[in-house]
Amino acid sequence: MKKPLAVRIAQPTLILALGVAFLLPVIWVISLSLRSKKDVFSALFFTRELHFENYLSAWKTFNFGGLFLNSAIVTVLSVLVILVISSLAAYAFSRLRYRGSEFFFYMILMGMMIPPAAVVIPLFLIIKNLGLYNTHTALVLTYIAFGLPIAVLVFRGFFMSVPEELIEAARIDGTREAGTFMRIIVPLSTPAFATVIIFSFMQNWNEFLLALILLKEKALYTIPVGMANLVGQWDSPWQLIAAGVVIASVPIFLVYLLIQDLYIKGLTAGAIKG
Amino acid sequence: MRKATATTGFLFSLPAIIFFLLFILVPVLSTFVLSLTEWKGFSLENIRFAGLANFGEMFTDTVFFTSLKNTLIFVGLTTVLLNLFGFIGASIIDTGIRGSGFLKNAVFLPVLLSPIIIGIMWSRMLDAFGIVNQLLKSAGLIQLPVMFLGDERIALYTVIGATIWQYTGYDMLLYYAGLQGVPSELIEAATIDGASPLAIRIRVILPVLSPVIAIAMLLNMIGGFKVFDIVYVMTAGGPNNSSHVFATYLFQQAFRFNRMGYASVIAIVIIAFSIVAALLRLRTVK
Repeated sequence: MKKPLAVRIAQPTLILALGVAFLLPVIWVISLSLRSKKDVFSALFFTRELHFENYLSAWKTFNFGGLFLNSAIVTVLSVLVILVISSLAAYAFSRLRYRGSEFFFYMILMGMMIPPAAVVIPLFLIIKNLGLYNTHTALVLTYIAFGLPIAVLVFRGFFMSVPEELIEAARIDGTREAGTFMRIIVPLSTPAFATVIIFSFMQNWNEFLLALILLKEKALYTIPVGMANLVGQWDSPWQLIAAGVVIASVPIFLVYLLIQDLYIKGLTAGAIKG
Repeated sequence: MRKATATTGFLFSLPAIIFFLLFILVPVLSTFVLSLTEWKGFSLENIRFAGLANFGEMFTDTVFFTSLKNTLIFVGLTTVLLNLFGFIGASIIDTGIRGSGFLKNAVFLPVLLSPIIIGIMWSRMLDAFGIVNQLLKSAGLIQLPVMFLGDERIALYTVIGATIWQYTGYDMLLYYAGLQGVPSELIEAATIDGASPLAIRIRVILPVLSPVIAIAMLLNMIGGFKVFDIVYVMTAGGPNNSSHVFATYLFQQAFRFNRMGYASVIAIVIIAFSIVAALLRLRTVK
């Protein structure tokens, strides 16, 4: 049953138009980022001359070098620790069960439901009393705590599917549990590691509330706090704000294009049924 | 052997347990203690016991009830519309018609970005000088610009709109994954029986998708109850406290007005909603 020619042309055109319409805000921001100061409010979309130098001044105005570095430090450190701690715990909860391990598993899982917003006040106090206020360590520690639950859930689900015989064989060989974990479980679980890396990376890279509360010095700001702070000042020129928006978005989008399927799987990790 | 395994297991899980206790469980429990105190400023020396006074204040605080109402509106509207648009979007890209791949990536793009970025973008677009007012004006629909974020009656809905734009792609992908799991024989059989495409969607596909619908709705609800970033960056709860949600009102009380005790009462309300969501979520995990 072949569709008539008109339908075969109309359908893709409609779908493309829908996609472009959805992206109009993005296209508008890009056009804004390339306008001259005097065209900012007069033009609708792209103007004849494109002012790429806006990106250079936005980079300097927002101090993007510093912002990217801060975000990278905090994100990379927290994701690394999440990987180690949550995979070990998930291994214990799936293959090294002990009395109470079920209880601890469900307890940590409940952590998934406590939004940072609900506990910012005591967190602020704890961090302050640990002498960690206004440090990147404060962010790393809290990001680890809030990243653990979903990571443990993902890893545990995956480890359950590793055949018991493989683990038993290693045990009979006399390998210690740590060795079994490192040599058998970890290499088999790269998909789970990929999922957790992407999910925690996105969560921590974009995190705002804790960074807003636990940092004071601008020099320590991560990208979201840095941008919110600058945009809060009313005199910030629009074309620079727009260029900043694009600069902050491009790296994430490029990574997505490179590893699309992994990315989607990682981002929808919250939807898994365990 | 078994005992050794158990010890190793405990040691393996210990770091995770410590992190959970120190940064999640202890804060949750201390929130209840803090809610019984009157406490200005950040120094613990000024703290004093206030009994249930904070709870009493909550019941007479109109801004608290505004934030309650707004949070419920936010959760309700985003959950319903995200699921609706997500399902429609997934149905379109599921046809596999040329251009579907582009549409999928276009709609998914905002999901990747931080709500702060999305909020900054939309604030400019909807500003008195932004493109939306420019277009409305040149179309002759308005004389004065519409104050999307400056009008008490619509600020909240503007933020909701931006949120829906950001996360439609997320629901779309959940539904798309769900649609891949619908057995094609089911659709063929219905087609042979003469069911229309729309009838097939509603009568055949939706029932098969019900687990996906449940999980998508639950995730949207959980996300809605804790929303902070986009409201903070677009309206900060204003104008005149009209667009506060739980989290922004808590933040304002705690970190702008230094009222940690009263803010802890709001925190308890958030925790209560979270626990209800957690119990629902646990059922889908098992």
